[in-house]
Amino acid sequence: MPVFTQTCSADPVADSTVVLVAPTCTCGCLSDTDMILLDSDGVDLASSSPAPWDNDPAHGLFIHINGVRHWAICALNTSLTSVHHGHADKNKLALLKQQQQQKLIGGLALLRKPPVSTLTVRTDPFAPARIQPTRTGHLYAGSRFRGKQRSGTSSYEVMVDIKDVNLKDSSICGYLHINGLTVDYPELTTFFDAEIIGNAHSFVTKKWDADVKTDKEHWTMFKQFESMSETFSEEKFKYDFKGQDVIFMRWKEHFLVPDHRVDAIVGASFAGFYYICYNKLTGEIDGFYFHRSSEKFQKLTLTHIADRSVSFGSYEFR
Amino acid sequence: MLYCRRLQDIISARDDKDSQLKTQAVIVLGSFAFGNESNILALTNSGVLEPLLNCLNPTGDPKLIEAAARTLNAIYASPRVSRLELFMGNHLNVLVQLLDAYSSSYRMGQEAVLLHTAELVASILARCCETIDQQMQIAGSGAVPLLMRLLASGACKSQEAALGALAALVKDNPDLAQHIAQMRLERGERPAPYILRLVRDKSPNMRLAAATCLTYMNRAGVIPEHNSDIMLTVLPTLVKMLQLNCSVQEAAPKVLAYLIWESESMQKAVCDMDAIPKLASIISQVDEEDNVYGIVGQKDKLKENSLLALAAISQMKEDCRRQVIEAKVLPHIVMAMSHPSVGIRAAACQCTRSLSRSVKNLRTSLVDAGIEAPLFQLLSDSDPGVLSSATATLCNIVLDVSPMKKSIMDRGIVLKFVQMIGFGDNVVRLNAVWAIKNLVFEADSDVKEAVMRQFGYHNLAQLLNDGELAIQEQALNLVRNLACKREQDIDQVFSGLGNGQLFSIIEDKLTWDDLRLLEHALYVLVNIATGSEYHKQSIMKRPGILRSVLGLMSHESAAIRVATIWVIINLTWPDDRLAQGVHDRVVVLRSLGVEDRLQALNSDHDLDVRDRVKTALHHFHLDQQQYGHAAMTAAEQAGSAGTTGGASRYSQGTTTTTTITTNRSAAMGLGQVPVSGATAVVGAGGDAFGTTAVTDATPSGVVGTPSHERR
Repeated sequence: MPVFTQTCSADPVADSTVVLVAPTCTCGCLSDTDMILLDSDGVDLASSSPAPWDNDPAHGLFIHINGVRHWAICALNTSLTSVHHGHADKNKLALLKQQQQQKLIGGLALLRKPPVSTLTVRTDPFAPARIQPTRTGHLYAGSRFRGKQRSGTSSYEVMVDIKDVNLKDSSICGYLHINGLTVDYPELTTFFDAEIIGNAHSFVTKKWDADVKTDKEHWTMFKQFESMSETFSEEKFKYDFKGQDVIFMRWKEHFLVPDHRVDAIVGASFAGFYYICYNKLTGEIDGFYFHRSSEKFQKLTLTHIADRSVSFGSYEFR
Repeated sequence: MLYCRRLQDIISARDDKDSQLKTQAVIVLGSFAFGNESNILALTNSGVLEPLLNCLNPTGDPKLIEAAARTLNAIYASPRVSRLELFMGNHLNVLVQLLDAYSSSYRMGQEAVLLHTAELVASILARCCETIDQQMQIAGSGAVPLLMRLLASGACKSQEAALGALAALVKDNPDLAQHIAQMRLERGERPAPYILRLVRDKSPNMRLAAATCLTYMNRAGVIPEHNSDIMLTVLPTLVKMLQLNCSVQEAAPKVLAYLIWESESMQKAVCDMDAIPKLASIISQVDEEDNVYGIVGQKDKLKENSLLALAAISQMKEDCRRQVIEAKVLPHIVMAMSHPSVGIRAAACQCTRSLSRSVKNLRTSLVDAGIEAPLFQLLSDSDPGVLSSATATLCNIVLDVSPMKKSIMDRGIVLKFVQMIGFGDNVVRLNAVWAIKNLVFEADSDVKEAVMRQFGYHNLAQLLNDGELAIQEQALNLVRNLACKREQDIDQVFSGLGNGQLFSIIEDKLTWDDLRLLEHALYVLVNIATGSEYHKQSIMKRPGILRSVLGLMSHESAAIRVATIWVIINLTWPDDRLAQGVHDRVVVLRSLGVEDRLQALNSDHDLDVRDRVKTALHHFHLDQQQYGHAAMTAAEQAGSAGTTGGASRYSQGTTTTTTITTNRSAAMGLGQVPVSGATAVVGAGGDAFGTTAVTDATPSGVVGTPSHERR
C-alpha cells in the first residue's frame, strides 16, 4: 500500500499548483526511493509506464479521464498521509475512492493548463492594464432601473441605463431618461457619472455647491447612513463600500444624449446632483436631488428591471 | 569612400609600430561618424567595424584604444548598424576588460585615458543591449561587477556611463535585474540605495541616468523595498525635468511613461504633480515652432515622448483623462495622428487609445475633435506599431455608447477588421477580434447578422481554437455577445456554428484552467439558456457540459461560481407556458446533485453568490411545491398517469395539461394527489421559500403547454 509522505493539497481542484507526491510502499509494489512527480494535471511525469499498482483494485489510485491519468488521491484530503496495510484501511480507502468518484462525476477533474501565449513578446503596455468589466449586485453594464422622480406634487417617469461599472476606479456611468419634463423634450436623456463613496470618494462632497450641512441633511435621509451621521465628516473617518449591503453614490449629470453640445434646456436643469443609496439586497435605488436653487429633496426611486431570464453580453475597453 | 578604404587599410595594418598614424586614422573615421546616420551606414557598409574592434587590443596603445572606442560609440549611436560583429569572436570579452579602468596592469599617468575609455565602453555596451540575448551575453562576459565599480568610482562621467549600461542590462529583463539588484558595491551597499542618492545629484544628466536605471529596476519588480522612494523621489524628479530646457527634457517623458504604465497610483501621483499641463504646453510649443520655422522634425523626439507620457498618465484613471481634455491638447494629438514621423503617429494613437477608454470621452470630446477620419486613415499605415494602436483605439470607438460607431461602420470598418484577422500579426488580429466583439455588444439582430455575413462563421470557428489564448478568449466573448438577448440571435449562432460544433467547443473550453475562457464559456451557456425550449434542451442534452458546470460551482473564483449559478437559474426559469420542460430540467439537474451543491453555496462568503443561489434554490422549491420531491419518479414510472402533472409526455409531441399551483395551500393540495412521495411537498411548506413563492408567483389557472415549441 503506498504511503503518501506528502499529499498535494486539501483541495487540489481549487489549488492547481499541486505538484509533488512522494509515495513509498510497504507491500513491495513500490520501492522506498520511488518519487512520483506530478504536474498540475496530475499526470505522472517521472515514469511513463504504468506503475505496478495502477490497475490493481486494491491500489487503484489513478483515474483515467479522456486518456489522461489523474492522480485520484490529489482530491482526497490530507488525512491520507499515513495509510498503512490493514483491513480497516481498505474500507477507508474504498470510502475515499467513492468520494473521489463522486467528485469526478461532479466534474471535479483537474482543469487543463492552457498553453502559454506568445503575444507578450511584443510589449504592449496596455496588455496588463486591462479594464475588465466589473459588477456588483444589480450594477453591471447593461443593467436597467425604472422608477419615478417626485418634484412637489408632480412625478416623472425615470429610466436608468447603466453603461459602465468600474469598481476599481470607484466609478459608474450611464444614461438617465426622464419623461414628460418639458414640452421640447418629452423624453430627455442625460449622461451621468457616479462617484462611489468609499476610499476614493468621501461622503463629504466639497463641490457642486454642497457643504457639510447639505451632505448631512441628504445622507441622513437614508436610514443605512444613520450610524455614520456624526462621524462621516471627520478627517480620520474611513469607509469601504466592499462587502456592504448598500452602496452610496453621487450621481452627476453632464450633458444630453445624443447631442452633448446642447447645454441649456428651457424648463429643465441638470446642474445639480443626486445623493444615491443603492440596496444590493432589494435592487432598489433611492436618491435625492440637490441643487442650490431647486426644490429640496426631490426624491428618486428606482427598482431594477429583471427581464424574464437574463442574458449577459460583455465588452471591454482596449 | 575610397578615402575611407585607405583609412581602413591603415588601421588594419598588422604592425603595431606606427600606432600614432593608426590613432589619427581612427579619429578621422570617427569624425565622419559624428555626421549623420547616412555617413555612419556608409562607413559600416564598407566594413569598418571589424578593423575598429580589432584596435581595442588591451596590450596596445591606450590612446589608440580610446580613439577606437570613441569612434565605435559614435557608430553604434545608430540603431540601424548591425550589432552582430560585436558579439562575434573575442570582441565582447576584450571590450569588457576595458571597463576595468583601475586594473593594476596599466601604466602610471594614464588613469584619465583609461577611465575615459571605460566610460566609452560602458556607453557602447548600453547601445548594444537591446535583446535579452545581448543582455545575457554582456552580463555573461563579466561586465556587471566592473560596471558596479565604475558606478562607485565617484567620477561623474563614469557614473553616468555605468548607469546607462546597467539600465540597458536590466530593462525588461527581470532575471538579470534581480541578479544586479542583489549585488553589493565595494562598501557592501546594494546598488539601488546608492543610485537613489544619485537621483538627487546636481547634474541633470546624472539625475536622468539614475532615475532611468531605477525605473527599469522598479518595472522589473526587483526593488519592492524602494517603492515609496520611487514614488517620492524618482517620480517628482522626472516630472521636474519636463521643465528643464536642456537635453534631459527630451528623454524624461519617455522614462516617465515607462515608469507609470499600468500603475494607477503612479499615474494619479503624476497627475497630481501637474504634469499634464506641462506636457500639453510642450506639445503645443513644438507644434508652434514647427509652424514658425516651417521645418518639421526639429523636436520630433520631444513631441513623441511627451505624447507617450500623456498616453501613460491617462491610461487608467478617468480623472487623469479629464485633465488631459481640459488641457486642450486634444487637437494637437489628433493632428499628430497624421504626422510624417512614425513614432509620433504611434504615440498620438496611444493617447487616443487611453482617452477613448471612457464612455464620457467617447460621447463628447473625441467626437468634437474629429478623431474618426484620421483614425480610419491609420488603418492603412505601414508601421505595425501604428496599426496596432489604431486598431486598439477602434475597439473603443465601435462600442454602442460611441456616437461614432455608426459612421465608422458606414466606412466599412467591419471588412477592414475581417481582412486584418486574416493577414495581420497576432496583436492586430487580437485587436480586430476584440473590436468585432465590442461592436456586436448590445447590437441589434440585423447588425449582428450583417457583421457575421462578412466575418463568416467558419472563421469564427477557427478563431475559437486559435493558437493564441487571448484570441480564443475574444472569439468566445464574441459568441457570448452574438447569442445574447433574443431567441433569433441564438438561432443565428446555432445555425452559423452548428449546434454540435458549438457545444463541443463550449464543452472543451469548460475544461481549461483559464478564468476568462471559463467565464465566457459559462456565459455563452447562460445566454443560450434564456432562449427557447429547444435552446435549453440543447444544453440539457450535453451531460459533459452539465458535469463541468456542476464542478465549476465549487470553483475558487466567485465570478465563476456566479456564472454557473446563472446557468442553473436560466435553465430552471419558471414559465407557466412551458411548465413541463422546466420541471424535466429541474428533475435532471436535481438528480445530478445541483440542488445539493446550491444548498452548500448558501453559506458562500461572497454576497453575489449567495444572492444568486437564493434565486436558483427558489426555482427548485417552486418545482418541489408543484410536483413533490419523489413524485416525478413515480409519475415517470407510471407513464401516462393522467392525473398528475408530472407525466413525461412532452417528448412525444403531445399536449399535456398541467395544473399550475400558485400558493402554498394549493401546493399542499397537490400533495394530496395520490402519488407516492407527495408528502415531501408538505415539508417544503415549512421552508422560508414557501412564503416567497406565495408573493412571487403569477396567479394562473390551467395552462396548456405545447410540448415542443420549435423544430
